[in-house]
Amino acid sequence: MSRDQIAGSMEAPEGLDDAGEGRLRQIVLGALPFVAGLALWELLGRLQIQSLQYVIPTPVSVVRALAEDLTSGEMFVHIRITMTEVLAGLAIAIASALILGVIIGRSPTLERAFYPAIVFFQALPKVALAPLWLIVFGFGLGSKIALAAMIAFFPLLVGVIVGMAAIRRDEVELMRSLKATQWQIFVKVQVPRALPSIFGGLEVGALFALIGAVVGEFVGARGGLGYLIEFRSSRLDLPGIFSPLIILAMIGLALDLATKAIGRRLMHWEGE
Amino acid sequence: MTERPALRAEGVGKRFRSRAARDVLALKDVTLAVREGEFLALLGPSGCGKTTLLRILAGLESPSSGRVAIGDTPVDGPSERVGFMFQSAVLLPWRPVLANVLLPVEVRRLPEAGWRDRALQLLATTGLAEFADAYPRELSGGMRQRVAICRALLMDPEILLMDEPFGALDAMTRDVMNEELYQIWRRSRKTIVFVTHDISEAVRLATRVAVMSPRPGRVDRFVETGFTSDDAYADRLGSVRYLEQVRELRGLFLAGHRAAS
Repeated sequence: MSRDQIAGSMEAPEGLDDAGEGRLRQIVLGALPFVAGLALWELLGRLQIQSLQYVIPTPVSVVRALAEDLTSGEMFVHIRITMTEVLAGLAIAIASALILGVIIGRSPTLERAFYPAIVFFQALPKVALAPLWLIVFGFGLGSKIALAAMIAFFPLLVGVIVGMAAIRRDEVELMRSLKATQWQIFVKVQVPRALPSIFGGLEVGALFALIGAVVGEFVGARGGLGYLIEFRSSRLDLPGIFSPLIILAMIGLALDLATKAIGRRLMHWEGE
Repeated sequence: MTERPALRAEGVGKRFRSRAARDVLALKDVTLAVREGEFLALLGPSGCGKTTLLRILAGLESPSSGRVAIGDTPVDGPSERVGFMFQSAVLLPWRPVLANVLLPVEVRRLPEAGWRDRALQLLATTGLAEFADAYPRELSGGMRQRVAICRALLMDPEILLMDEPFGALDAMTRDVMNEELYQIWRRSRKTIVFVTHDISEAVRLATRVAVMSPRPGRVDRFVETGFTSDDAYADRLGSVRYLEQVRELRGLFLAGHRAAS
């Protein structure tokens, strides 16, 4: 193959190549702060500064701790507990936000009735309720699920209410001109228009549920990633704290990517 | 013209309640009889109540006074005997073209299989055969309006009510759409009521023009264009009568405008 041919064949999917290059560039750029941070971190560890020794573990020791947690299988027990709390809490939050949001969104009277209560509870820092749920639901999963559900509920509720209001007059008119029932208008026109903001609420809610589960475990638990962090901090096991932290960040990332992927699938018609 | 009207309005008035100011009288005592197979244009400046009148004829709005009937049936809501077209296409963006055309069938809970062929055939006659699976965002404004026409024609309604359906299109696309609509009317012999504020568009298409004026909205007079479905679109456009009609109607509006101001 001559040089020209090679050049030609490489040029063929030009648009694609450009897009690929752009993505690569983004990945490299996005990775830079991480690499720089890690380098700085390792450097600080190696300098053996007396006052920092107990505060900052070296990256190497963190990786070692993480590897140990994963190979011993201990980590997976805690991941399962935290994930159960997050997903159960999120499921409850989604179900109740959909029910309440749709009812409120369809009745201006109910919206006026519920609005002050919603604002009141939204203003309340829900994590402050963690000790209360501990008393009500005990040391098991229940108190964490309750907290996760409660924190995730409000962004979801707002998403549903805003989504219900995104209904378009011309589309309702069209449905009316076709003699559609109220239920048909709701399902065929109002729900699709509501999806974008419901998923906006879900993206926030999913991460909030994770916060709720971890804080719930801090307050009192027998397992879970938050419990592990709390337990190890009492022993000044610094690399041991960072290991579940990294797992938590990955879980958060996975939740975010999953909601976005589902949203894109359902709303493929959007945005273009 | 002795045949019974396809659609008629008797003494129709519409008053809109307004909280801030006085009530607005959008329509006052409108009486009109749309003949079967007629292409009637409701022509008037904005604010003359032509859209309100059309919506009342469609049963989308109820009149404050007077009566509306399709044939012998009083109108008290949207009817399946009527196809309605809006100022914009109003396609649901999450549905492919074919599913948008089939929406009336779906809403009426009829078996879709029996209507698929008709929907595809309608799309073919409007030149959209290969766009059945496309999404509305992939279509131009004119193509979207064509899909809306297919949707309105799907259930084969006796009457087509159109609210400035091509008002949002550019002049050239609009001309093409006018001709296509004219062909559809000539082929199907449906009764069409067409709202527009464009004098030449009204004369190009209609057999009769209802001239409306505002404050309060009313029909001042009916003008027969003298054209029938025997006349081809291009012949109409090239005829002297077309130019005379446009000039006459233009004169009417100018006179009305001067009298008002």
